[in-house]
Amino acid sequence: MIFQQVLFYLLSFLIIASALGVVIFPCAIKSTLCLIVTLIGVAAIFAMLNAHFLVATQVIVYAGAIVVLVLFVVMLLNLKKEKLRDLISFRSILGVILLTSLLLAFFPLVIKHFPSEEFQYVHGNAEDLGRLLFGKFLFAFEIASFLIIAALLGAIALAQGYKTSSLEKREAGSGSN
Amino acid sequence: MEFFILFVKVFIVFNIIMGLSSMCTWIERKGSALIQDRIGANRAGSYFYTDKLLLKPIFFFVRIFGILGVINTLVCDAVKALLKEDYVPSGTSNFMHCLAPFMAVLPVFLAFSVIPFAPDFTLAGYYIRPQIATVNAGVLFIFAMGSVSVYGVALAGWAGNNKFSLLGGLRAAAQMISYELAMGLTLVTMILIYGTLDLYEIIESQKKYWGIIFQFPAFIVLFIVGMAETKRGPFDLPEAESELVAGYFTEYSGMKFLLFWMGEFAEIALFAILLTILFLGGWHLPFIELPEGTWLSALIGHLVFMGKVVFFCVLQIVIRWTLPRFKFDQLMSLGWKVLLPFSLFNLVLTAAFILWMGK
Repeated sequence: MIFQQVLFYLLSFLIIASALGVVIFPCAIKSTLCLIVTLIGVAAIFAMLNAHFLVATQVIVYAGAIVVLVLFVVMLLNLKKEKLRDLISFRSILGVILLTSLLLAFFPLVIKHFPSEEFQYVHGNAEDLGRLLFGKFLFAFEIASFLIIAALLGAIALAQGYKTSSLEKREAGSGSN
Repeated sequence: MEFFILFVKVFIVFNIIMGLSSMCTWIERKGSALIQDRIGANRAGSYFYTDKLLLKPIFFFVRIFGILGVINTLVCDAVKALLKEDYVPSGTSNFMHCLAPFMAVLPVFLAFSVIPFAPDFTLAGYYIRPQIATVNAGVLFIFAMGSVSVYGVALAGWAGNNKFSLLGGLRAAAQMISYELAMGLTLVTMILIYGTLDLYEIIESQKKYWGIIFQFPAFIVLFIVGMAETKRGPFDLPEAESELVAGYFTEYSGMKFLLFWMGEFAEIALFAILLTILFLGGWHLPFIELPEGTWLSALIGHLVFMGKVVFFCVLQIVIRWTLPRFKFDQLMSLGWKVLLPFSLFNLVLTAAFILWMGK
């Protein structure tokens, strides 16, 4: 039990440190790698709760598919090192205030539930998860997938529209010349 | 005692990985020579003679191994790689350059931890399951580790600080992402048929009929996808030596270079194991009922299992040395226009059939 708690704290430290690294590193590749470490760390926390299906899904979907695409784009664009912007600006102060208020709002809840028996077992098997997704939360699940499809189509439409409009402009420019 | 059993399991599985990957290395060297009508590695160790009578039988076997090329490919090449200069190109991060080979090898080795290599048995009162970690989503775990192994390759391409290696890394990432879709759909089809994610239960449910009888199309798709995921055979565009020098590991030397090769051969073995478990019924033989429960039956089951695995390894290597390389657009259209729609169609058909039969 003590071993598990030590492992939990080590993992949480790793997750938080790498999540900070995502923001702090000036090199895009390094922050992408930090993002991978964060996601796999969350998967490891799922593994400590015996939710094997969630672990596999987390690694496949986030670490295996989404971040690979991010890394792909970062490598293709060959980004230069970003200069660290001023630490004290309107945006950063606003972000800090929002984040602390959010943390303060969640803090009592976390303290209340943290060392309890409820978290010993989560419904993380394929069957439990399937029953929840296609039974109790069917409506929310369908709405979420609908939103994602809308976002996907919107992204495609935006990219296409941008391309054609820039092409038209170029053609118009060459025509006038 | 539990800890000791776990330690022994880890030791044995690690030796299985090493044995399979070195066997693949040897077949790659000597088998390719056989296919191309060359002689191949046959020098190191083949001139070992002695006058001492006691040592003569040992030297006899050394000579045979030398002529077969085992010493050259396994001993001499490994020592050579250990002693070579470890070169890191300028203008790149040293840490990333060292990290990439490990990220290419580690997920593949981790995936072996959920594989059951033999049936259960009891030894000296202990009930032993020859599987390091009993994960109830074993198929998905292997798939997850396969998808994570993209990072090693992509990172190696980036850390080389070289146009050829970057192109190789990008090609590898694109190829692995595209073929993962068809692979995932095929795995879902097989999961639907067996009704479980546990690798051990999948093997046990194939006692009478192997999966290949029900799903021959899925077997073909998974075999093609496996060849593409291991970046070999007709799909070796990421390391196409006539275009990209050596692809993503152009700037690697010594032990790091060897690590990439070890990861690749371990991946071949992993795919052979996955095919064996999903389609060839693991340690079950057709028409023959093997006894259960004792260590001897477990050993026999393990040998049957390994025989099938070695068969698939050899088949992959033979295909790699037989077929010419695809063009990149052919590779992409095969993945996206043929395999993906086909496996989707197969999945829907299988699901409808299972629903119609009423489980």
